Amino acid sequence: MMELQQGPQLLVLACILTFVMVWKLWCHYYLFPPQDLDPEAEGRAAALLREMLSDGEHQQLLQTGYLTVPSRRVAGRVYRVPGRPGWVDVYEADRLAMRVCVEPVEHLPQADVVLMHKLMIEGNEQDYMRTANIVYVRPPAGQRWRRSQH
Amino acid sequence: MGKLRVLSIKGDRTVMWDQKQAETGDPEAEEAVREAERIFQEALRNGATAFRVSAATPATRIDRFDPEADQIVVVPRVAGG
Repeated sequence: MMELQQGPQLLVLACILTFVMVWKLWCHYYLFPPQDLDPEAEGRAAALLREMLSDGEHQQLLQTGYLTVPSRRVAGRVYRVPGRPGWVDVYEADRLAMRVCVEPVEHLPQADVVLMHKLMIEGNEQDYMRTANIVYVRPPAGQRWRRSQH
Repeated sequence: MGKLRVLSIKGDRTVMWDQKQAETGDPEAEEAVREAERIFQEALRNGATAFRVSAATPATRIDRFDPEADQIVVVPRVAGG
C-alpha cells in the first residue's frame, strides 16, 4: 500500500528534477551564455575573426547574427553558423535539413568558436559532420528520409 | 612572414617566422621556424586540427607544418555538443 502511494510522488519528483535540469541547461546556453572573463581574449578573438572574414561575411555576421559557410562536399548545402552559442543550422536546397552541434573541448572566446566552425566546415567538413551531434529536421527536397547524409 | 595562430581560452597565441630569412641561414630565423613547427606538432598531438588559410580561398586542412604558408590556424580538439 505504501509503495502504491509513493509511486505518484516519485513521478512528480522525477518530473520536477527533469524540469530543473532542462531549465538550467536552457538558461546556460541561451539566456546566460558563459562569458569569458578575459575581455582581452575576447577582443583578440574578435580581431582575428574580423581578419579571417571577407567584408561581405563580416557584414552578414553583424546584420543577421550568423555566418553562412557553403559546403565544399555537397552541392546546395550551406551552414549557418550563429554568432552566439547555439546550434549550426544546415540548409540544403534552401530548406532547413538538420541542426548540428560541435563544440571545442576547451572553452574558447565566442569569436574563436565562430572561426572554428568556419575552418572546420571549409577544410575538414567530413570530420566535422562525423563529430557533430545531428538533429535531422527534414530530408532534402525530392528525397525521402534516410539515416545519414554525410 | 609566416604566422601560426593557436586558438585558446586566452585568445589566439601567435608565433611568427620568416622563411626567406631562414633559408639564408640566419640562426634566429631558423630557430623561429623550428619553434613554430614544435608548437604545431605539439598541438596536433593533443588532438588539434590545423588549417592553412589565405585571403579569398577556403581554408585547407594540413597535417604537416608548412613553413611556406602565409598563415596557419590551429583549432583545439572538438566534440559533438
